[in-house]
Amino acid sequence: MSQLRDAQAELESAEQTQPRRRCAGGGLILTGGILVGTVVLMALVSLVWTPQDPTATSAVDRLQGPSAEHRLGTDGLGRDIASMLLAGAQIPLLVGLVAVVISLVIGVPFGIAAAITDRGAGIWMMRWNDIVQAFPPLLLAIILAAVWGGSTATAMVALGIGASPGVARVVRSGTLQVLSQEYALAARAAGRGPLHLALRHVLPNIRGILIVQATVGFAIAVLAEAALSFLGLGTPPPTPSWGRMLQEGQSLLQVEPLLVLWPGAAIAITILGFNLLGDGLRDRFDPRMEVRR
Amino acid sequence: MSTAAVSSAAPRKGADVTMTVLRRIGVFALTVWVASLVVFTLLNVLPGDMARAQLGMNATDADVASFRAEHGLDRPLPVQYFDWITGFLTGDMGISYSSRAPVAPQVFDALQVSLILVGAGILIAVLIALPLGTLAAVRQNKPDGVLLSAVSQAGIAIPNFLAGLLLISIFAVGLGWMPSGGWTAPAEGFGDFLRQLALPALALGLVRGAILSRYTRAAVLDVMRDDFMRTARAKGLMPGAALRRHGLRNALVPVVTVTSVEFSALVIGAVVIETVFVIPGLGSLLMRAVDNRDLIQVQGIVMCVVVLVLLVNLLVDITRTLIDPRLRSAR
Amino acid sequence: MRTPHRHGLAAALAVAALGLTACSAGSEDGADDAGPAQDASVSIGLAAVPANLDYTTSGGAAIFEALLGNVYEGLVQLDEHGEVEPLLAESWEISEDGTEYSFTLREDVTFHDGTPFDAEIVQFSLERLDEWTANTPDNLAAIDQVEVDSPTEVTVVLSEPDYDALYWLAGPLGTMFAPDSVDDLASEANGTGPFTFESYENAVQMDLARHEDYWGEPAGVADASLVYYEDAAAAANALRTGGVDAILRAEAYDQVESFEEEDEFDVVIGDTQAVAVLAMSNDHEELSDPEVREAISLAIDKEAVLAAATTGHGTILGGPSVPTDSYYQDYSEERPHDPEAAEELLEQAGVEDLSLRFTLPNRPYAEAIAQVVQDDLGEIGISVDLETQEFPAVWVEQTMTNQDYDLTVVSHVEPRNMINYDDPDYYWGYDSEEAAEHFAEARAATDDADYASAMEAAADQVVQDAPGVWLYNSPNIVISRDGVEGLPEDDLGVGMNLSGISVDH
Repeated sequence: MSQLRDAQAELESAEQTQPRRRCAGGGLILTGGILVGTVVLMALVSLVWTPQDPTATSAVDRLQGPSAEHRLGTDGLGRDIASMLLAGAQIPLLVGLVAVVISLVIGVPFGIAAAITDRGAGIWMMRWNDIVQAFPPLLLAIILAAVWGGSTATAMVALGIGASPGVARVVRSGTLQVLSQEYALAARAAGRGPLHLALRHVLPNIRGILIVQATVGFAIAVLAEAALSFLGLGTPPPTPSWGRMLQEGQSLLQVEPLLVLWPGAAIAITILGFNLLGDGLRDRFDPRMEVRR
Repeated sequence: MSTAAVSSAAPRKGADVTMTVLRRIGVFALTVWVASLVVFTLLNVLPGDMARAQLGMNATDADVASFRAEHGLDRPLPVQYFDWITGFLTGDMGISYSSRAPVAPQVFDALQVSLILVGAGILIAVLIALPLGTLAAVRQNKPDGVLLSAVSQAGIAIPNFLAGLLLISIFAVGLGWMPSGGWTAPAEGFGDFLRQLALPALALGLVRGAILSRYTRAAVLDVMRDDFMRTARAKGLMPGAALRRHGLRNALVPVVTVTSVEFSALVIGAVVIETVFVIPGLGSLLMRAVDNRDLIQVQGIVMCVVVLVLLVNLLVDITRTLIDPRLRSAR
Repeated sequence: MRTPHRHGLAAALAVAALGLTACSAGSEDGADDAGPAQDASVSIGLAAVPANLDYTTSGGAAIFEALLGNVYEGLVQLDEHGEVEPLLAESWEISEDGTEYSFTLREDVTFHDGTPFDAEIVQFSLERLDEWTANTPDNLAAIDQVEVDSPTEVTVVLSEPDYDALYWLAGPLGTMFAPDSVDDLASEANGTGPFTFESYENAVQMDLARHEDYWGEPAGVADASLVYYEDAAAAANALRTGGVDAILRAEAYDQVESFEEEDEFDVVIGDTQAVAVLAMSNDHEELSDPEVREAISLAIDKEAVLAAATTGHGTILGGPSVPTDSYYQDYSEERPHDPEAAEELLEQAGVEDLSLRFTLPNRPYAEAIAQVVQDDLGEIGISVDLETQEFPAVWVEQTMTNQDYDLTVVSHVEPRNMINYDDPDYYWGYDSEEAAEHFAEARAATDDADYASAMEAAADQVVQDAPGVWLYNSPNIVISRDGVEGLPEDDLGVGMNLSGISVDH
């Protein structure tokens, strides 16, 4: 199994084979950054201001087309779609952020430890990693929803844990690379402990791949949150979330397709933004570093 | 790290290969066992008493007690685990709390449906990815190549359930060309089967195809940089011709490998697609089991998915061990 | 049936549509001649999914809706107006004191497996009510014993008079079971009805076939398939694309209009027994104050609720009875939407900063209602936290059985569900001596008028005490493709009888 992941990673890195420009990945970073920045801005703005209250229902205003009062019209409960779209950015970003943090908090120490103790416990740690990796994040989220019921919290935890084996694998190989460098060998020879190695040498040198991994992880988490909300196991009402908007708009697709298209486009743009950003950052930091999608 | 897989693949004797395969199978068995402990713990230790949720509100304490006895929930957890896992190995996954029928036949029926869907999804993904990715690689600096890359980048960003909803809206309800959902087993009517399979397989395959096309592009670019390709080009072959003659087969191998890694993503994608298209596969079964808090059924389905993912990985791993493509390539 | 919407056949369009529906189950039999086809089959899309086939121990109306009247039968049944009429019993007599019901049984009835139906069967089935854990067996708690007088005569003895007894016998509780079959109730169905049970693929499809040796009028179609779509839009899509011939209990309210506009579909809006009720927990300190409950009732805009939940289809209630009940009174003007009055009431009651936990089933209608209610209550300063629970499993356990909620909402589809206000242990937690007296009077009634007036008095009392907010009675929306006739238009809260369906080609 580990071989497979390696093969996949090889391809990922092989992708970056365009003639190197001086500022590698600049265009991708810029485009991705603008898209992600827009979404983040939407979420931040919605914290202090939305055109209307995104949860305010109004029976007489249901399913209206665009107007001065409702720029993008209203949904089946008469809520302002523009406001819901703005506020709906919060949940995907929150889930993405927490899931990525969880995956890093678990995956980074795990991966470094597995690398440092390579020939001994490290092998068994990676076997365990393989086992966890057999549970796709979305499946894990569904299991937790079966036990506790679906919520934003179970989604974040499950997606974070589900993504951690990928992080651990990337961190391990990055760490192995660092440990084979002369300065690390020297530090080892000087009798420095594993904690010193990890903090002084490994972490600063795998910073790049961590940032890339986190960016790509963000895209995956946003997609998974949307899928969970669509399945009714994610964010419950009344909190606006794009996935929920999609699910609620589904029954109105024949009547008002925009109810599906708006949140759908928002999700797609967010994922696109993070993916482009991830690709650009990968070019920037190290084209031959292993990163798992 | 691109040499990691290669360096370990030194030439081996037959006995070594057998040992390697056996070791992999052993590790697989161990992995499945630990995974079963994880699944059992998640679904039996964490939740509370499921009996109340299954019986109507008119159930008395005695009814609850008899439900627990009937399903063996009153026994110590290790005993329950042993019973479940030995049953699972012999194809018995217990009795569903909600349907009161054996879990295994339902899971196996649904599994067949899901595997067909996933298979069709892989097929469509590959049919999209190979030409698209190759073209994007060959013409990497030309406008159409860049456009193809952009299209695949956009395809990755579209959630498969959104693709499914749009396909239904356009081709089923809008144009009336296809059924909006449902499932007919191939044996019951092959025409209906194909018509009903088309849209969900497309929804599943389109997105995975976009992802796969990026790997294909990378693999082809990788091959194109290889020495033998440079030589071929130096001999005056056009890049396209050189690729056709020497490169594509070499590029295909890692792509096939990645396709198998994508398997788990496809299985999970099918869960969502099945609910959109009302297909009675593993995903629909799982969602209903979750809704019903039918944890014994959830447990069986989850274990099946996990074993399946591990099994596919094992098979591809063994295949790679047996015929390491790098050894046969012109490096 | 209140507002029938029928459309004539526009030949060209319909032919074109039939061409597109080549894969529908209805056209598989190949009968192309006009007129009802004897060997036709019909497939019907439904929303609520049976968990299994045993409605004696599994909740949810979906199971008996599919099986009762089609596969299973009882001594009596409800006619289309909801009146009790003979079925397996040819006739009956009720003793003066209302405690003895003597039934004379049909002689020519056998179960599908060949077991003859007789008085012993009646005794077995009704004495088995003790073993039911679902579908409120307590409604027939008055049955003391069942005496077999002869193979075709049986007397049901009640411990006290119960005017509703015949009504409940016409529902799922009165089902006749063959003794040899009761061990497999979850997976097999052996009854005396016009259809035999063929198969049930869980949550996907149930297949019924005409029972050729049926004792009564044989079914109009050779095969009936019930196809389950948990998502309302998926069911509507299936009807449009020929996946099913009709959908009953349709919940795709937003699409009703577009179906009505198309000539190839018929839309009929029938009645149901359903009451969508917002229950308020009596255990909650503030909610136990009637003024607070009344304030909540005043604060909720029922028109808005109806628009959100069913796009305005249905009847706004205000009380616990539905228009088809003999004891129905229109309470819709009782507590009109009046946020100011609600605020004043709250002030009078001295309640400030009230915060309530609202548990709701994960069904679209409930989510729509809950969000409107949350909004409305927010306007009078009550903050509401929504907690979605999977339905039925989790909601039944947490909210209904454990009664762990402040507010909750559900559409009760079972008929005459008002009598649960007579049960202080029910999750509604309503306990009123006055109402209980009226309910007792109703049970002891000996004619329809006495019964209705007692029930009206009980309803008045319940409405006055405001243990809940009765939102609306949802309609039974039946949408079918042209040529499918005889669909059960009203949902009487018992089985949906499919034997009258015929299919034209």
